[in-house]
Amino acid sequence: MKKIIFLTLFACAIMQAQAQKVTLFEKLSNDKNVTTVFISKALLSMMPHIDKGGTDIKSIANKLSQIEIYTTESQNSIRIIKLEMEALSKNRRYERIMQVKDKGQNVVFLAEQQNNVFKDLVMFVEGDKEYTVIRLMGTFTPEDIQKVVNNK
Amino acid sequence: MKDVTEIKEMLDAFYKGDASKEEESQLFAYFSKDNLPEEMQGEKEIFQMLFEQETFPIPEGVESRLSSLIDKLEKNESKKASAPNFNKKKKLWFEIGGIAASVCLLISVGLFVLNQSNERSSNATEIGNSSSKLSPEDQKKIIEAQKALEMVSTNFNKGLDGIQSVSDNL
Repeated sequence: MKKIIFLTLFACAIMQAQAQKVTLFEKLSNDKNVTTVFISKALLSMMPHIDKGGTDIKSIANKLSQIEIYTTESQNSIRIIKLEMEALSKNRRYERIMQVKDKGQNVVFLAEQQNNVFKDLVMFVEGDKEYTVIRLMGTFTPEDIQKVVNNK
Repeated sequence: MKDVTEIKEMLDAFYKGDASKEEESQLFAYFSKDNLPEEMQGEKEIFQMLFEQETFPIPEGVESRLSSLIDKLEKNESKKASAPNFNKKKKLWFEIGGIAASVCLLISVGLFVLNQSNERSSNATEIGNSSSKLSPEDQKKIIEAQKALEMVSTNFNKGLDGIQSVSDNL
């Protein structure tokens, strides 16, 4: 009996862990004032063939499992997003690794990493009119991120 | 010479535990005699058993009879114990069934989770595979992805550069 209970709980925990990855921004997905773009691994794998000239997208695109982009101008939605950000930074899996403020733009990076490898990198950009959130999921290093623009 | 009725009274008291020491010794003396009335013979035997001073002679063969009796009783008990052997078998099957059930549960949960992730990725692949040329929607998405990656990279580098300049100035 104990065995069955233990195994069931374990299975539930696994499912819970899986579920969490999706629901992180599902609130925003249903918000009409928020534009959401979801790019799957399949689409990402096609990226290398389209070269935008200059930037090295190829190497990192292969290391990502998905990209989520959220943009909004609605103050209400921005408020919700800020709350989500606070909640996320309180999650012990996530670390506030960087904060950059300049030219009327406030940028915060939250990351879930293991041994200096990013599993989940979320960038919150608060601009004058617009608020943008970009989430990169996969297995990649800080160098991979840097390389995207540094190759120009 | 004691009266039989008196003796009987004393015996009653004795068996009740109410007899005095004197009465006890009187009874003992009375029953030591040999020519007692018939009715008292039985009482004499019982009384003498209680006041036994010599060890009771063990009749021959009692030990062997006792041990065989004990063996018989043991066998009877073990027969009764093997009847629950059947129950033990049942228990074993239940245990096996339980383990099998939990394994099945694990497998089904695993398949379910796998299915979920497969569905998600297959949904995405369908969009990609429906046309070898990308649909305009997909093209837009890809451009968005590129823009997003550039944005992340730019801001990321900005932050790191900030740290760099600080360390340079130190």
